[in-house]
Amino acid sequence: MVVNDLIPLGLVLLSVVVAAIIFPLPQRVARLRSTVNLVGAVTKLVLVVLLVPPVVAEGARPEFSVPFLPTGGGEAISLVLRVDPLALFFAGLSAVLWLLTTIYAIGYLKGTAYQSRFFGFFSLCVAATVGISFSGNLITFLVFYELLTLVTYPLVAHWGDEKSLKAARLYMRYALGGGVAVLVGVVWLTMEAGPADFAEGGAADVADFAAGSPTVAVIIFALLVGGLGVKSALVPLHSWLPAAMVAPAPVSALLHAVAVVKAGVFGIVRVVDDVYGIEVAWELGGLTPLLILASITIIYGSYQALRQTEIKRRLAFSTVSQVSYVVLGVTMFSMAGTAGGVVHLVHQGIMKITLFFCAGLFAESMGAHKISDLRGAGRRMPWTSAAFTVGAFGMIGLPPTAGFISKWQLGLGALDSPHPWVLVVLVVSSLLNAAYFLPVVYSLWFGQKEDEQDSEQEYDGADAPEPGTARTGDDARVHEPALLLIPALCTAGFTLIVGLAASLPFSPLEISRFIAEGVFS
Amino acid sequence: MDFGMDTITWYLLIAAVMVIFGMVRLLLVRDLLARLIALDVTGIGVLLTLVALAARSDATDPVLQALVITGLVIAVAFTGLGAVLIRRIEGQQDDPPGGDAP
Amino acid sequence: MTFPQFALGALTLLPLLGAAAAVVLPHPARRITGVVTAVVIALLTVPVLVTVTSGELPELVLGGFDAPLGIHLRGDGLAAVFLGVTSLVGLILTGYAAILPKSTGTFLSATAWVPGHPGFWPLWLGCWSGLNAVYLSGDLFNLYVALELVGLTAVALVALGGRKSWEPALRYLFVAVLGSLLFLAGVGLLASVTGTLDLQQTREALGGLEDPTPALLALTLMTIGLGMKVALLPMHRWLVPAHSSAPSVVSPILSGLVLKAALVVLLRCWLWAVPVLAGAEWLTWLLGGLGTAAVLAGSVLALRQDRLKPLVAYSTIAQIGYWFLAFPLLLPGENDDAELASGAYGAVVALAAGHAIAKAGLFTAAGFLKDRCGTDEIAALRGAGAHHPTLILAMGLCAVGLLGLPISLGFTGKWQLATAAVGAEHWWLFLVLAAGTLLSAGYLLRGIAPLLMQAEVDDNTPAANPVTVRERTGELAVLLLGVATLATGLLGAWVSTMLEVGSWW
Repeated sequence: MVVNDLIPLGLVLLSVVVAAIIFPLPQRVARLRSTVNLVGAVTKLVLVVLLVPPVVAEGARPEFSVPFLPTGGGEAISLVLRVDPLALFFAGLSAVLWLLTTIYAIGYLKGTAYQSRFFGFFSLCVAATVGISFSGNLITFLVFYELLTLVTYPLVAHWGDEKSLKAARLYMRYALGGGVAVLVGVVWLTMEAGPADFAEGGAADVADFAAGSPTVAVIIFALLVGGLGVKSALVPLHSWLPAAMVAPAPVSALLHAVAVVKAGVFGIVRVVDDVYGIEVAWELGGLTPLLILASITIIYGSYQALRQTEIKRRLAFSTVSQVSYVVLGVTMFSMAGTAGGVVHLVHQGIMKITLFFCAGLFAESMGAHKISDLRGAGRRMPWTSAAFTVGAFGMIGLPPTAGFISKWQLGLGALDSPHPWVLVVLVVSSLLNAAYFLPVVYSLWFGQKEDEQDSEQEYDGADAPEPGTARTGDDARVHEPALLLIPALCTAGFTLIVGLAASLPFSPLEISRFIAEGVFS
Repeated sequence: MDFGMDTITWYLLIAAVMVIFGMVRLLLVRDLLARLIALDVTGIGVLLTLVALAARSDATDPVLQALVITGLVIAVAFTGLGAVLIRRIEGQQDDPPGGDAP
Repeated sequence: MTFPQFALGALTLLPLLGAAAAVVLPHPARRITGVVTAVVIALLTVPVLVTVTSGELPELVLGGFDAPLGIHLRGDGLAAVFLGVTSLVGLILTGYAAILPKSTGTFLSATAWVPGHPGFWPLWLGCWSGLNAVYLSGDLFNLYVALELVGLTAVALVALGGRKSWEPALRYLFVAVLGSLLFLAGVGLLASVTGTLDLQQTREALGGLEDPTPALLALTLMTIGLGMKVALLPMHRWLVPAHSSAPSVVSPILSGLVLKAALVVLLRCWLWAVPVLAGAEWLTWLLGGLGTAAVLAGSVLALRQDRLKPLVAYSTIAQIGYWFLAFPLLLPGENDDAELASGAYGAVVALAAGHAIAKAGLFTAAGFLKDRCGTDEIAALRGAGAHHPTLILAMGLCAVGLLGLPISLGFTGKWQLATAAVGAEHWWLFLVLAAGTLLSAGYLLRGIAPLLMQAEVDDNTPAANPVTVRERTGELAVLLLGVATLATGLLGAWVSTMLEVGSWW
């Protein structure tokens, strides 16, 4: 494939164009809307996949830049979109999951109001995510990072009731507060060290600056990471995330798996690896506090997840915990650890989106919102339950799932690193993961329903089974809508495939090892 | 300096008094027409200042005179607009006035 | 006479001709005249922008009168930027007014109030002529005359809004006249010292003076006078009633463009007419302090509004504050860093230009909703978003610009201000910027979020009535402004290179 410099721009604009087409569409033209959405998503996926060989194997770096901010006298700061392996890694994740989430959302929202608005913002959200992944310097990153905040607000507030608006407001407060911290950090760093182009091993200007005035460099580092920590839900900046669960299920899935949370973590990876450079960050002493914070978040998130009785809230706290594995990996200062953190960026996305898809399915088809509602669901919704089981096993880190690969790689990294105690964190958190997921899985398959009346049949789609048939007994099958089920099965399948095929070329693990080598070069 | 002969100082003094008087009245009075007149008094005060400044040298300053004439025209225009508005506001309670020109 | 020179003259005179023609024509023909004039003005802006971008400075002396008395038009960078913004916003708003005539006010015909005021067209074209003349004027005299033309037409435009708008219009008139009298006094004082009204000559003459007192006094008078017209904080009370009771297409004109005219005059006075004065520092700090107060108080007041148009009007007051925040950095001061000063200047221009577009969009949207639903109470507009997704999207885009989030000129401006602040080690500016951004997020959410909510009784909202094709087209005009808010965000670097043409340094 001919690698053109306009490709990164085209990939960002693709979703914007999709959004622009969808917004003015009236509510009733569902088919056209779905077609536009799917065409956009498939095109994006194909383009990203085609980019993998030239960028990873041949070292091509397509770059698009346009002057953006004037500086006093000097050269203007540019908006830079550049494709490097890490960027492609994240963009690939978002492309795959966009496609699946779109399919899921089409099924999930069938017959509800305001769909054009939903899918419009949904596409803009993906545009922002792709922009974040291709950002070639901090300013560009900041642009898309703030954009992401704005376009996810209407998605969180989608249902328009008091609870959603309250959650959306909370989200907005946290995200904008974090955004301001990042903004201040970026302005300051740009003043001191120039526009800070992302470079493997860190930007040279930033390294010089950090050598000259380490104190200021540490303060800026703290501002950047603290601001990004809001979106990545590092404790104690995490409480917006469980609240944002009121959003429609596809939104929760996207927020947790790709868009918002991952944007924050991805930003931290960029700052540590490509702005400061891991060596510089280590010498400044910025990594160890972050590592400790990540460890606390992992344990605390798991502990909180254990206490939840609602499915979505348990998953939300699980996200808080799981996302910090990425931070843990990149801050433990070893090559294997960085590879483990980066690969978890993708693995966690695939596994967590599976779980959210399933949670949405349970809620839609059986009206199950509490964990206790899931008793015996394995017999009534076998496919969904199977997918959920795979996702849960992945989260725990059982072989041969993707989660096992992440944890194994992280464990190797911990042994390699100056902090072998991290291994204890990994083990404890895996035990906690097991403690909050295994009972769910057990009750799915082996639980007995105690009280029929507890679960209401809420599904009201056109092809729903007769309410009577669904109520006849514990074992009666509940219809699992195909549009919702297929994406869940796909991601569950990926969870297994990625785990089994981890050593093949262009597998996420191989690419992330390649990225880690770049970081430590 | 002979105090009596300096007409210009006198003019400036009168102008200052007019400006201050006009402004105080503009700020304190509620009646709309009185406020409009106070505004005009202030305006005349300012223009008088300019005239006085223009007359300082032997040959009167054409630049300042041009300013004063323009200022007068503009003051008239604004006063007209203000008067129309006041008439409308005060005519509101009775029968509404016709005409569409503002 | 070259074509760009011709364009300079035409930009000031053509709208005036259009206005004169509109006065004698019947109502439907006025609309056509307005649209045609707007298109021609927009086209004429292009050669000026091209010339300035290439680094040249188009100048024209009208009628052969040269300085000190004459009409000297200078198309420098500042003029070019605001000409461009005004043409863009003006064209879109003209289109909006032509599509939705009821947005131009109401008038009493015989016995009933009729929507659509024919007086709008001549007044708006006259106002546009004044705006262009303000940007292009190279001397204080023409600045004064053009500013008065803008003020007079603006007051009359407010009064088109029917009964409720007459009192605010009158109040606006009092402030505008008082402001221009103070400005006139300042100009007269300068002229009496220097004997000229040309900006360049004034600067040279003042530079030769030993005693800075008259110049300082004149600058203070002019600043107070213009502060009234810009509605800087303690002189802001007139703005909210005037801008919120004006007809829905007039509010964006006032907030977006008319305020900028006074700002441009202020910049001309501070940066072109008067050289750096020894005692002017306290004045810059006073303005900076008032700017800070305006950002904070304006935002807090906006947060407390229950109606959409006053909320947007208070947000204007907060945004005005940003322009004045930069004043302490604007003059090359103790550290003689011209780079910082030019950065701060660029920041003011970018913020003001960005505000012109974004606020015009937001105000048009608010007016649209008010026209459609008969009220602009936020509680009553609940759920209106469901029927106007395009409008809500446009409002969101404009909000991005007002918040100063990327990509927008608002962001570029805040960025330049912040970098200049870091350079001058004025850390407090950072705090004000951050606080202002967060507060503005608060009030914009307060204004826009309820529109997204579900209405309690769905069919009861007036917004649920069928939307006509005209209204849909009007929404597109607002969307254009929203898109322009983002698109102009990419032009920051271009704006700052343009500003170097004919700059004071």
